[in-house]
Amino acid sequence: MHRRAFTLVEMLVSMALFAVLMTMSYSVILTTQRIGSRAAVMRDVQTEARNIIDLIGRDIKSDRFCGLTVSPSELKIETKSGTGGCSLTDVKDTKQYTYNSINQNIELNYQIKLDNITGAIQVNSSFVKITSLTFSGKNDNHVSISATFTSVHTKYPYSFDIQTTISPEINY
Amino acid sequence: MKIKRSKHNKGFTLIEVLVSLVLVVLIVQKAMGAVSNHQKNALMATQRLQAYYLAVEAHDQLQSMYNLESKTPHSTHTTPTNWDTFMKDKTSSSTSDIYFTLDGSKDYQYASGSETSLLPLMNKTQFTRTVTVAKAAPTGVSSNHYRKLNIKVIWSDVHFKSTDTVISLDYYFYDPNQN
Repeated sequence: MHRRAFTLVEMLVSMALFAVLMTMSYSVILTTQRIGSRAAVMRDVQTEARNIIDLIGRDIKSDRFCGLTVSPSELKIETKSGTGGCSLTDVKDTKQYTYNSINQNIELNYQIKLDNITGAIQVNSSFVKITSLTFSGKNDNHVSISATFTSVHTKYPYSFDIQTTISPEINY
Repeated sequence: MKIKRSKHNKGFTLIEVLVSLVLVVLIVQKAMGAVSNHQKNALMATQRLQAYYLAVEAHDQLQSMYNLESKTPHSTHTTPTNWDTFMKDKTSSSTSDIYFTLDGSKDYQYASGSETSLLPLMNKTQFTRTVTVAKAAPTGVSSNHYRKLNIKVIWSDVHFKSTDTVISLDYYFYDPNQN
């Protein structure tokens, strides 16, 4: 019996085809991975934005205005000239959110001791910077927040703009 | 026993090669389509979240104005005011559906139409918001004390040139002073 082996040309053609297929597969896997990572960064930034807006929102919506009083003002919006930022202060609970546009972080300052915590706590995670933030509106009537949350991930840059308004709740 | 091998059984036919190639192309195309969808979904999630917060903004703005109005009612109204007197005070319209638009100082004025130019361009997406209030109670509830606030936020996807996308949220306000 005469068994014939592969010729050199057959081997070269097979290897070339295999290389082409592998390159295509690798490219698809790489693209999938890149898009997956990018989507993960987007999801993380959006989650962070939602958490921070909801955190501030819960504080604004907490137990104020039940007595139907207009003054004294219990929420105060101020600009911070030193840091180029702004702050939102809850006078009653002596709690303050401060945005520092130089280090691009939001800090929560407790003026009273709460759960053994005093001083400033950074609200945003280290993987997110707040590249712009403004508080506006009518202080204790409603507070509008416009912000841009940006990922610190240099490979997958992503910014997320958000605007909303939060009004304290009232008991009828 | 000897097995006879055909002299002509040397390789694939042209049809076989073509069918295989078409199959490979179809599989790769499907895989790329799934990847592209993943990216599209992530971008759509961005816009939906922004739209949701714009809807919440309209709700809270109106709630805030009503709160303020009910605390310091208009001199021509009895204290406290209710939604209908609150709205009639702000509009000349007598229709049951009343539209609201933001003015330059981010206060609601009461005029028909949608808000577009005053909403910010967020991640290259322009949103449009329409706010209406109607006399309606939640399903299964028979009461005149309810007013339904409907907020629609509409946007056109600039990344994928798709048709307009809408989120529509209904809120029911209960007002014991409302008849």
